[in-house]
Amino acid sequence: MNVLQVAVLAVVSSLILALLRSERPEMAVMVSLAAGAFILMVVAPRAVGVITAFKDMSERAGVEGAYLGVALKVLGIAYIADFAAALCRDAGEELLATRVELAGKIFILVAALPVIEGVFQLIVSLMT
Amino acid sequence: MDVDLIFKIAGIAIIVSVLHSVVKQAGKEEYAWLITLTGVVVVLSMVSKLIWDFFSTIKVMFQLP
Repeated sequence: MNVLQVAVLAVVSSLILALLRSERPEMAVMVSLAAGAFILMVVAPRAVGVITAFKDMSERAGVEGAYLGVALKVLGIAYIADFAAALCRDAGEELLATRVELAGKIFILVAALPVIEGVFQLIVSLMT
Repeated sequence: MDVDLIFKIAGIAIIVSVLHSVVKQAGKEEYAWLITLTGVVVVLSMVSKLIWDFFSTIKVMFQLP
């Protein structure tokens, strides 16, 4: 599936959404949910290639594998939180969207904690 | 993975809409509400599988626990 098909899918879903939004708002949310998940799932297999390329590059550069794992984890959490927040916003729940974003930020902080700790230890060892 | 799902949801929404207005015209308000609820549940069961697939794809992709 290439970008043209994704674009056509997005435009067609937008037309359906315009038709449904005034009549059946709850169904419009479902359509946007399905379209959003579908488009991202189409793109996902391509992104896997990019990630393996990044892993290969970091291996050749001698970067520790754990750090790349943390970066990928943060990226995944950010994508999921962003998707969920966009859906909440679509359903008209601005408050819930902000909360989901906040939760995503906290999860990212937790995931990145080992790296921050590593930097802290490095600074301490430099000072002493 | 099929695009048909979006058209299916749109079709169900239109059918539910028509049924809703017909039943409402007949003066059965509570049945109209029931029809809407059934439509939403049917569509939700269709969409939830897609969403689950999507989240597991993301999980595998970014190696989340």
